[in-house]
Amino acid sequence: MSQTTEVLYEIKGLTKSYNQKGKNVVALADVDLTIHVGDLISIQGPTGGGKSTLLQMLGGLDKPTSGSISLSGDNLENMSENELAKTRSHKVGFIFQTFNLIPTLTALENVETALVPLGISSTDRRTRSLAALESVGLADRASHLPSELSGGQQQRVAIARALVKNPQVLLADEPTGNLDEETRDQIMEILEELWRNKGLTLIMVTHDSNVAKRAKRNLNIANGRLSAR
Amino acid sequence: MFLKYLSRELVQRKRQTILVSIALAVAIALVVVVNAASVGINSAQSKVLSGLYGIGTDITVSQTAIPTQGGQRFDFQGGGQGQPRQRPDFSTFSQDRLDVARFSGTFQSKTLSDVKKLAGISGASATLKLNSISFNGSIPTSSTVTTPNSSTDNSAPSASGGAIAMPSGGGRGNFEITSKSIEGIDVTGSNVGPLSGVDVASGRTFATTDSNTNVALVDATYAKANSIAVGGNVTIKSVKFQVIGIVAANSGSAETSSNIYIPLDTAQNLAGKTGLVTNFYVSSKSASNIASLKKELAKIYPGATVSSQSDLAASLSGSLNSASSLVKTLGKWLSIIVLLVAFAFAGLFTSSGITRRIREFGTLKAIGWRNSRITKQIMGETLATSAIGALLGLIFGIIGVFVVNLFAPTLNSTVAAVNPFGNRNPGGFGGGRPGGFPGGPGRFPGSASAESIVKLHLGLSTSALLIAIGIALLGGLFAGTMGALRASKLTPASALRSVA
Repeated sequence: MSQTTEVLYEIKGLTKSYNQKGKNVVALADVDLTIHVGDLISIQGPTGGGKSTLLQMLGGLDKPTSGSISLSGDNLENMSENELAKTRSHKVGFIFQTFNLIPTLTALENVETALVPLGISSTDRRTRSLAALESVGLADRASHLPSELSGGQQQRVAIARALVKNPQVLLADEPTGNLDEETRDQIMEILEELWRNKGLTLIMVTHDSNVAKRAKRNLNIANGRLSAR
Repeated sequence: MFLKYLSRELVQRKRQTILVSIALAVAIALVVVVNAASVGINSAQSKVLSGLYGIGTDITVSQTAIPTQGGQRFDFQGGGQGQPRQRPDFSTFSQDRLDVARFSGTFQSKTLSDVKKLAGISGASATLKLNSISFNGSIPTSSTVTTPNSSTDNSAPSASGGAIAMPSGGGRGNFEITSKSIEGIDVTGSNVGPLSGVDVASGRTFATTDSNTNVALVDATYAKANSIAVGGNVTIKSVKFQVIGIVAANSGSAETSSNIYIPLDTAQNLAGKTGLVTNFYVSSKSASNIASLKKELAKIYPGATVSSQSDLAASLSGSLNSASSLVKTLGKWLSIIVLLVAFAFAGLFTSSGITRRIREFGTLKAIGWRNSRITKQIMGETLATSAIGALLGLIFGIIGVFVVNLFAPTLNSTVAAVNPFGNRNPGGFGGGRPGGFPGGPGRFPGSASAESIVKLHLGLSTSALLIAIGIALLGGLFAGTMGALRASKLTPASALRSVA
């Protein structure tokens, strides 16, 4: 799938600052950005430059200090915490560098957690979660705990969890950061295939140039300021 | 998903589940055992007290007699039964006296109907406590009648009635004084009063048809000491009574409150106390009514002593009393401290668990879980842990109670110089008046202290068990609230950032 003209994110004058030990730290400074449906974007930059903060803003995990950010026409900055939770549950899928699986739940149950807020019946949850695991090649590991899976397998479970609810956008924070090169390539192939086949918008924060060059659009962020590469 | 997630957390995080559950369980077990000990000790106290005035009696009304000059006297000058049979140097006498028990005043028995009209009363009865003294023997005609030394009387009180034989020779008389305590019982039937604290060892108890007849129940100890059996006779004031039953205390007390029980109307006629009684026994429908009932009774009987079980319990001493004090003070505070420690332990452990799971909750928030769902999950987990703790605590507690009951420690209790109706009297009988015999040895109300040995039996009450479960769940609620507050305050971003 390729980029469309339909706007997914519209960001204007986005600023995020923190008060850290009495000092005002600016994580994002006056960021303007438009992201279209079907984009495959990489965001690179030095540590502490604001990559993860931007990703959190895109995912509605945090609110901006000023500026606006809309997802499919809905302004995230004005939403209540419950409204943001609802938006996240329906529209946004997250993939984390450290996988962030619930250690006490099996692979299948971990995938199911993404469907819990949607009020889907347990039978449907199970069916859809198994299908999602199958799509990442892990149907045979459904009953395994995260501790019984390799790093690559855990990340594939995390991808299945992010995809099972058919989100509009997949936000990946260093999705291959904890993986070896061979596994990294496997994960990237899965992500690219999903992006192509499911009409997803994929936004990745990465330090890895090999990952970044797979993206169709590359952004750089340093000192809170965004620029195109 | 809620239950699946909850059960997985409890099973997978065994260490936390076990530690918090055990902490709560120990606290709950202690509460159960202390409560059971309290119930057991109260029961033991009730047994001791019921041995004095009957099971089921909540309040007693009695009146201390106004001391009169002269006291009880035998008249050796008159004719009739007391007339001396002349011999060269001695006169032989045989006299029976039947008087209201020492230290007891009398009431009009018709006031019982006023008592029965009071609201909140489940039963009431009246008795007439009497003291029978018999004198048999001879005294020198040429000298003054010798009065038994009062200090001798006091020094050897028998618990079951008996006799004093005065030494002869040296010009002194040779005589015997026997005494027994008699109690007139309302045979129309009541579940309160002295006979509610006894078992019929042989024969039968009173029936309504026994009213105004010469039948008697005899205390087992007294019967044994005097070789009395059912079908035999006892003599009171020269009147023969047929023994229809032998009764024994059903508590730890060795004896019942009197030696002989006869129908109330018979006792009143025999003692010349028609329409009079010495004691009222009242049972309340509810323990919460006792204080107000006491006030009402005090209005009906101004100047009388109105006592409840708790008043009488204060007169108990011995290891039973010590155990009671221990449970009420040390046990209570120990329970409170252990509960607080358990709560703090559960709270801190839960809080520490939340800290370890910040990433987990941040991830769940990121994928769309609301704070309310996460709060519910945390509360569910801590309440489940508490429920396990409560269950273990109940099991430990019940085992603890079982073990204590297995060894059944004995406690002794002494009712110090007190009549069974709460009047502390200045110790025993005696204090002879000139020319009069104050009464023979026997178990008089107001006589020397009586000791009871009771086995401590810890009792479990449903309410105590429910309270223990409630406390455990409260602990879980407390810990869960602490944890849930921490988790809900976290924004998803800060939760995920803290991991990074």
